Amino acid sequence: MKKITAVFLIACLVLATVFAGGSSEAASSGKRKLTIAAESWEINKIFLEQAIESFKTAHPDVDVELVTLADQTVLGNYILDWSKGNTEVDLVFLDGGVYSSEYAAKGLIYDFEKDLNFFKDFPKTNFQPGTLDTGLIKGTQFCLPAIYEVYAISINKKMFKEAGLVDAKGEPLPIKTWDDFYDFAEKLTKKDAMGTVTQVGGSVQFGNNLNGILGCACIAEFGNPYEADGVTFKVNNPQMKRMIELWQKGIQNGYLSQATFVDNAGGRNGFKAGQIAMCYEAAGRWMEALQTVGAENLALMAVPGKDGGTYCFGCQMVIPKASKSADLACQFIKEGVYGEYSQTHAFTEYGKMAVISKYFKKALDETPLWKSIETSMNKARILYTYEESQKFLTGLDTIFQKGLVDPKTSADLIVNQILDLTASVRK
Amino acid sequence: MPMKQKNSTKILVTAALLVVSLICIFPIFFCIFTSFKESTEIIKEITFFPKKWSSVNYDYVFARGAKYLKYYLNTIIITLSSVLITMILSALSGYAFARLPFKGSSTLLGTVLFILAFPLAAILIPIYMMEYDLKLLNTYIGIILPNLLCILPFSIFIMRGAFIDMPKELEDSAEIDGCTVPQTWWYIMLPLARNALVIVLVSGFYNVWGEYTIAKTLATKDAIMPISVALTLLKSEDWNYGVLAAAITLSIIPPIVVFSIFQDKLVEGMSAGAVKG
Amino acid sequence: MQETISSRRKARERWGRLFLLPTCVILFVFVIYPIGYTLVLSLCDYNFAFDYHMKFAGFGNFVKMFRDPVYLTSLANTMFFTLVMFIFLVVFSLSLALLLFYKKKHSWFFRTAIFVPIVVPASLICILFSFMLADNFGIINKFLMSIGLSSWTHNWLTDATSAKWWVMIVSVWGKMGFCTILFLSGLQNIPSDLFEAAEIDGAVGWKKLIYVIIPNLAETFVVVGIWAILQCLKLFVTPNVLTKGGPANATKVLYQYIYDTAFQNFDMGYASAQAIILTVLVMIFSFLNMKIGKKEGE
Repeated sequence: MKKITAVFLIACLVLATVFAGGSSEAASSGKRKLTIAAESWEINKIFLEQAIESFKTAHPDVDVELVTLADQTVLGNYILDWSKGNTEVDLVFLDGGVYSSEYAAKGLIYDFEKDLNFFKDFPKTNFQPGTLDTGLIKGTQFCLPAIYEVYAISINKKMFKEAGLVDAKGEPLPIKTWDDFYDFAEKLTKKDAMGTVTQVGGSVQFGNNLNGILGCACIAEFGNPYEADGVTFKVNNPQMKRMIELWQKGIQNGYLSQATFVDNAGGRNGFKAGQIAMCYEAAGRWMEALQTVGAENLALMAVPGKDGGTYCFGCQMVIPKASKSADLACQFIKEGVYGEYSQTHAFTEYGKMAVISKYFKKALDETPLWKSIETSMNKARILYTYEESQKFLTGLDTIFQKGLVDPKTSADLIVNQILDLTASVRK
Repeated sequence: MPMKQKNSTKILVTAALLVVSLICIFPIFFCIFTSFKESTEIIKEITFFPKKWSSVNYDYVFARGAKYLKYYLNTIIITLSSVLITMILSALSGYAFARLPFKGSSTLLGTVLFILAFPLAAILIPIYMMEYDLKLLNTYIGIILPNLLCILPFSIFIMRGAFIDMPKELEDSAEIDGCTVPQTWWYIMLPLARNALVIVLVSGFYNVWGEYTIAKTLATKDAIMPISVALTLLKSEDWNYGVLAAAITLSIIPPIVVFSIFQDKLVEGMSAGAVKG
Repeated sequence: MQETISSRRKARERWGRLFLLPTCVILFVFVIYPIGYTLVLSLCDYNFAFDYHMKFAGFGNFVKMFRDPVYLTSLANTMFFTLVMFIFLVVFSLSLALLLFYKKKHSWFFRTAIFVPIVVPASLICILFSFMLADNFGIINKFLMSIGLSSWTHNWLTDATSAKWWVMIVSVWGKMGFCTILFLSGLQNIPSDLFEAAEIDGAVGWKKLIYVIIPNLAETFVVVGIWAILQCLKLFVTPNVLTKGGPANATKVLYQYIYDTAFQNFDMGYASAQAIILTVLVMIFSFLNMKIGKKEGE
């Protein structure tokens, strides 16, 4: 009996904590409040906690709260909240502009240019050319990029040396075409006596953002990735079909890793572990391998193609119209997110590139590897965001994950499937 | 000759059990050992035992303490509250079903049985929408209450089974002594149902501790997230398997400890309850 | 006297209702009301995030379902998983229970080892398995290579067929223990004189299993059966964490698709219709199981 009573008491205690936990948050001190919501990787890699600390020191009259979002699920709630004129957040970090198009379409977020006059005391010339475009939705500045990223191929130089794929100076031979990529992958793949792959030539991100992977390849080849309609990828041509065919061959022969099919991190982890020689996804991957592969063994190369550009995208910020602290949010963006600490550290430590020109140039000069894809970066372009982009993404995943492993599926068929899929989603 | 045969069968049985047991606990030990390896060792030299024992992963977990501790705290709060509410409710309703029948109580019992078989998916959507309207998303209460659905029906059956087996004379004599129904329940019957309560506690504990679907749906901010969901998100973000293994190790220990302590009672009681149900 | 008894009964009934009140309130708010709501939703077009109001759509959602290739794939996967996992669960756990039943002494370690996976959070163990099964640095491939079986190495989770099997293996790993407990207690409840009588009749080994054990376990079979079917149909955590339904929907199950439709696309109407079908499936299977169990018991 005593035990049961004890248990009961604990119950009351715990319940008390639960309810108290709910109410203590409501306590306020009359300060103005700014609430920022971001996913956990954004908090770490853009150094938001540090930015908030210094913001608080500079503005003691403002209370800043940081809310960590689990994933994009919560964004649906925000749409409801905001359309009713309520909000619990004043500044939201979005993992790409995908969701913001819905907010924008419903008029739930501010236009930074017209509504907030953001660029009045923070001219557009501060920005690295082209980066502001990543925040445009149908031509309007509904989002501002916090950082941006490009796609490139991270390279394990040591493996290139072992495979004899280096020039006289010991630098890796350039990957000019997808045929080069395939040939290199073949030469870089090591098999043991039983025919089992022990070192994989390359990895392409087939699991996370095929929209970007495919779009980037089109940009690199043609400059403008879209057909005349502006929304359909330029895939229906010999060059892109050849690329898809080579990807297929690579997967089927074991020269390209399949790990990204079920685990987004499969490719980068393999690269980091020193088992994959080339890794085609966001360019920052080489930085993760510094500790395991070593700085002297790493190189970075632009995505192959005639035009030589790349795809750029940003982690975007939006301010809901329901917010009462939009001015504070803008101030925080200018002082915190666009401050030197966040911008340079995100770049030099995590490869999330600075959008503010002066910090970008400074960090670029400090890191020769980044410098090596500078031409490609200067030709970076954005991709169009479909309204049903989630559907498009999962559709692409399915097409590629099925088609690449099946020898009977031709590149033609894959291209047709992509065109059908494009036609079926709401733009 | 028969003696010898028996011996060889015995050895065979033991060997078979040994193999299965090792397979069963292999992942758990792999996790524990991985948590003591350094990150370069984990992905470069793949071994079972750590070559060099290192506590670097645990240091990391505790250094970023606030974050991980918060997940633990969430799990603990959610688990304990759900289990305790369940204990109280199942003791009440189990007793009512077993000893205080009224018109329609058997229909109600049937409903509870029905819920036991009901896929959560069918009700999670309205619950989500309801909690949105009531502003219960991302609150402890909002996660605790739906969690009850998973463990309450089973617990009610366990408690009902325990009360039904008790001699009726006990109650009669208590009532002659002037006890009211709640008094009889609290002072006479409940102490006798202690074993069943333990089963409710333990089975509820591990079910809620590892619960994934509800928390994944109803907790979207990590301030409220239990560890079972939080770590799956870290998988793609932190990609540091050593740290992940350390965090997993820390979070699978409590249910294993609770389980080992109560193993015998639990095994006995769970089967009894399930068969009766 | 008569009156006091009846008033006592009345009082007890009153207390009975009162005792059940909190449970009933919770059940109503969180089960009965939601079920009704799901039924209504399933007949409507309603995107939670983008529509302000529901639109009545009749049986449109149900028709759409059977034209949706992803839905059909996940239905087929669920059926496949349920069938195979059910057989494996019953066979494995019955054999384990028999082994444990045979070895009564010194079985503490074995029992603990076999039962412990029940209490380990499934989502966490899946993280671990995904690490062990990784193509390049997974311990399973490494182990196979180190013992000279490198031709057996495989892209376990990225190949559609093996991914399916691993989802089932990991799920069975986590659920086997509970079925074993149920079978074991069923075995322990068989009166020992039945065994003795059978031994006198000369029944040994397999014969004992067929003539004594199986018939006496009918009731346990029903319980294990229902439980196992439920677990298989409601499979969600393992494919969600291990493969996210991939590669190319190869391990997408109904539950996962409902989740995706509801909480990623916010298409609540369509998701509700899918949930209704899943519920009907669960009911049919449980009912079948009960029927078969009853027949065997007779």
